[in-house]
Amino acid sequence: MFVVGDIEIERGERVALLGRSGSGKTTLIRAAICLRDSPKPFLDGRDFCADPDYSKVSAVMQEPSWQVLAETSEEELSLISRYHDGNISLARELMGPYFSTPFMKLSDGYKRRFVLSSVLVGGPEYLLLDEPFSNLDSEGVKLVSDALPHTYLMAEHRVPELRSMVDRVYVISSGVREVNKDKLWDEDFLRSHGLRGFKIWRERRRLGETILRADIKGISVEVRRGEVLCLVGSNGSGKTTAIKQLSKRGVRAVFQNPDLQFFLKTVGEEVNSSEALSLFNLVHLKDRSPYTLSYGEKMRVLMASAIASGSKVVAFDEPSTGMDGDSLISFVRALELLSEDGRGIVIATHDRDVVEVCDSVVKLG
Amino acid sequence: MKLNFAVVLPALILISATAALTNGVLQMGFTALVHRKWRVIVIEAAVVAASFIVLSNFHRLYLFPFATRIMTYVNSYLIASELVDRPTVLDVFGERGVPLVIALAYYPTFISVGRELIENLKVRGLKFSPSKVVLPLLVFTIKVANELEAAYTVKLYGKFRRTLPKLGLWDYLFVLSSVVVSCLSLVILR
Repeated sequence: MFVVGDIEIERGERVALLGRSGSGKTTLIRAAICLRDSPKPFLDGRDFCADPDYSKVSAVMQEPSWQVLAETSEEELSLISRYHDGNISLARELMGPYFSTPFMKLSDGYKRRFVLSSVLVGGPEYLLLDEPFSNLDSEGVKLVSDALPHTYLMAEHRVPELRSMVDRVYVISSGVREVNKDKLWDEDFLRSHGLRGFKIWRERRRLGETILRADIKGISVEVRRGEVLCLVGSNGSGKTTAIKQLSKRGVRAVFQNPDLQFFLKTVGEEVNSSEALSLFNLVHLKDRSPYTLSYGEKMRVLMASAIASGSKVVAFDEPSTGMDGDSLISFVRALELLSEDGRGIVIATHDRDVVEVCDSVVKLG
Repeated sequence: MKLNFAVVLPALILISATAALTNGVLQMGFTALVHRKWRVIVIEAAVVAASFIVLSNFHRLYLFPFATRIMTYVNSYLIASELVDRPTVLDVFGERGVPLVIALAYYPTFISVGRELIENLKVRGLKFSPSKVVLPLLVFTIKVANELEAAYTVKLYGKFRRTLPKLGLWDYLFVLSSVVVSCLSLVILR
């Protein structure tokens, strides 16, 4: 049995660790692989960190791009084989035709498989996964879930994907406690714990006149005042390219990864409009560095900055990547503000929860 | 085709050294044929031809070998960065080569992040200045380092085992051709 803090995992068990962003899921996984002092992990009653054996307990962290040690899966395994023996044929099987393909050229699903396979070659008995489905479409989720071993702890806040994949559930909310698996279908529980998987609702308004006409990948698109238009399609269908094209036509675009879109020292400087700061409830944060905010707050800063730019249409590229339930609610409220202000909104997404709040949907790919 | 670093390193040193002692034409041609990046080869040929024409018109042809040598060094860099089987760097440097192998794996990521930052600056309507880009790049680097520490810990456990370089047919061909080209250029020079 592997124990870390209040979490116990038996061999053969599939366990979920739920909690809103910033609740400590990643910290707990880092402690489990001895990168933090507490809580101490125990393997079969022994202090695991006294002599850590990563062939027994291993982990895959959240962002695949930051966990690669070589350019291709083949090269990475060659590097790993200089340290310990492993089941290279397993990695070859998981990567299929992409075994020698550079990481940067892989689809999002195969990027996660790359990282997963290089950990699985060591044959760990217990695998700890930090948000393995973040930014994956349904095909990507299947690619990753098919590659998982029999025993794992999966930290997630995207509950729908987890429901059929786990036996037991822990939740972090002022401490760690085990909850009944039925809670994964309880919308009030999900909403109150900042998890995803509940139905979200947006107040619809009468749409105004057309403010943007564009041709996106051969499809003629019109955006009206106050409208939320969604571009849907799987990973690689050209959604990001479409948003980039729109940004060249005066549409203010907000891309994935908010940290790469902040260039000034404080929230106040980023937004540069007291009206937009108060509209998005950011006045109390105006002297803070945007990098120190939660994901939901960062998105609000970018939206406030977009509204302050005066652009009639604001576009978002996969805005719900990494969003927990709280951030999603906050995002939808901010969309309502933009719509109320008469702006047109374009959202590129494959997230079903986000598609629910759109006025119209255009399918790409 | 991937080459062993234990072979590429001495061969490229030999090629570069003999290019410095001769007019460098053979070395330039040989290294270009090895990396086979045709667009680069066309540009190099144009640069070399232009240098030849300009230098002969100005009666400064003795400067021409500098152009071919520079192209040889560029080609050598391309061979080292594109054709080397990166883990074989460890056959030469041992465990001390691990950070180098990892750093080489990250340079495409940092190039793409740099590009993204500049695009995002444009979208925001902000003027480029190094100070604006340094902060997000620093935040990104710290985040990468944090996750990389975890990956390094769980993937590279156990004691490092240094292995003898395993050479393939292409490695032998490459080293042999390098020696032949180097000797031939010296003979022609004499």
